Amino acid sequence: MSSGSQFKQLEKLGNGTYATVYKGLNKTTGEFVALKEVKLDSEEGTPSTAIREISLMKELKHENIVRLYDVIHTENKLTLVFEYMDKDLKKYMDSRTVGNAPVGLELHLVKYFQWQLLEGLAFCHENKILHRDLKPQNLLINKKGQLKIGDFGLARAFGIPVNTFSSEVVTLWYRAPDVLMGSRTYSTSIDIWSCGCILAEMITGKPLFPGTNEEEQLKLIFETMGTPNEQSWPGISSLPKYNPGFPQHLPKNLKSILQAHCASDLDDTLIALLHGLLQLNPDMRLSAKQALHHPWFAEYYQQQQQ
Amino acid sequence: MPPLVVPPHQYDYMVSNPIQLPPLSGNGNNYFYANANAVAPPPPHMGGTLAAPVVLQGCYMPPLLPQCNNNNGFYRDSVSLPPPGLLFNQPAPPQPMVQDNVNGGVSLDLNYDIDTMSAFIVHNVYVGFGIHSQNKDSYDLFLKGIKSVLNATRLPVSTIYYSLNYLSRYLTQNIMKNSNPGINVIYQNTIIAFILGNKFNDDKTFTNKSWSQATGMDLKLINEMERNWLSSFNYELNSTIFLYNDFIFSYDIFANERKIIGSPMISDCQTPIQSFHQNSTFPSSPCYYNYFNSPIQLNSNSKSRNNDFNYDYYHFDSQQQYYKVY
Repeated sequence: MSSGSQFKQLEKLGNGTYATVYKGLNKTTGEFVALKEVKLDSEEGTPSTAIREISLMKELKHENIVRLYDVIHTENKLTLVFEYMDKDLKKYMDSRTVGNAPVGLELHLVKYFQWQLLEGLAFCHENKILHRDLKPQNLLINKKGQLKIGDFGLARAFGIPVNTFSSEVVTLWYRAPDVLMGSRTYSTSIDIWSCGCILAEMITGKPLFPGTNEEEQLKLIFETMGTPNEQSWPGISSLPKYNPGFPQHLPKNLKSILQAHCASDLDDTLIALLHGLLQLNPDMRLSAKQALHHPWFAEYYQQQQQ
Repeated sequence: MPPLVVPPHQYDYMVSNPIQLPPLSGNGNNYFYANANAVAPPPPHMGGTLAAPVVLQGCYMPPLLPQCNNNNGFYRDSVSLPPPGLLFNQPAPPQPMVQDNVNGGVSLDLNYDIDTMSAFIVHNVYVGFGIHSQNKDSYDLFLKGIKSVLNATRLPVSTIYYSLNYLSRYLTQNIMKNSNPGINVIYQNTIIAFILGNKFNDDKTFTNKSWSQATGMDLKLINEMERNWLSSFNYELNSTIFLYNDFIFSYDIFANERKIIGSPMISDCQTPIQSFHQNSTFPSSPCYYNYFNSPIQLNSNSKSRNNDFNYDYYHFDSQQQYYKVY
């Protein structure tokens, strides 16, 4: 553990879910770091978000996961010292907006980011950790084009059987339909749905399902992906918030929906991958490992095998 | 004095409508830790002055608590004073839960019997602290306290086992200098283990203030102990080798034996153990047998420190299939 005086606090980078993040300078090494300051409230004690973020991130040493270097615990605040990254994916995409029109990323960059996201996520899942809050704001990037998963405040270990998962996880726009319908038995597939939403968002520059409440969120999903039923998703009717009266929709053509907001031609393997990630039935969704072996990533895994 | 235990359905509102705690006795409820920065007091036999905490390598050690043979008066209250959280007249009876009323707890459906689980917890905690003879009153009091905490929080099985695992780890890392910790110390440390288990493993977590209200432990003390536990673990709450299935297995044996014997085994537990000490023979009590099925590692320190300890116990232990956490 290092002491607070080892770091010089620089400008504020943003407000996290439960903390304020500053840029910092490690006076010993001259390296930049991100200092996440958690105010300690005497009634709450050490926040569970901080406890999880620290104990889970300490284990996750991977080049696509933001590294937690250190923890400094003082009387009334807890400072987490992270690897410094230039910005988050949300800010990066916003910075490319022309006027009011969102602009997607170049497809080669989309592929590189998505590959890294899935690499980092596969590592989490191998280590029996669910992130549960994947979204562009929590994906940090740097000038080298590296992408790293950050903010593990909602993450949870799933190595042992648990029956108390909350369905109030993941930012609404990136929340899977099974979770929206109240499932508490979700697993790694919860993160995969978010990866699908993020992939579509990188392509078009705008969120795929920008609902304002749970009901509207499900409606937007079903309008595009089709309304599921017992045939397409066995067991769906036993979910707490399943409603047999959901308006019926047939799946729309995802390719044409996205193509309308993308300058380059979208190829079918990319759309196939999207469908694999955005399966309504969680059991049908690809795993992170499977997604990494999808033909759309052929150039990457072929390179890896060499 | 109103009962301290908060019915589960009130739990959600505890922060906004704090339950009034009964006035505590003049000793204060955190007299162990009254001065967190105090220097370690001399051991009781050298004549202490105040029951100040012992700070050892960043972890709080309880003052050396006399169990029965300390008559110098300095600690006279520690024997008779129950843990603050146990200062209730009537424990809340484990009520049949109405589904609508359990939203204050973590789990809607508990897949264990609270009585059995409480006894199992107490049993494991005692093994963890290396205690094999304990005053029956404190034993019963501790059991009551655990029951009321489980009733109020409805912690899931996985969280309870995480907590027992943390306790075992903490005791292994922070060798208790006194091999006879008082029931307060045992209770307080058990609660901290629950708090960390809940914060790490559950989506529904309670604030330390809620824990304070449910247990009667001083909030400042909880915060201090929580910090010390976390730094003692280096914040690594997920990296233990955690033999979850061994806890399940051990619990099943424990629960079955309770069923077969048909009596609250844990409150009988001390009798065979005491007789075991007196006679240096193996009692035939299933309770004794059960010690070998606890995944909790015995506090190794108690091995060497207890002069009256029967080493055959450990010899036997090593030949048994003893489930160790590490």
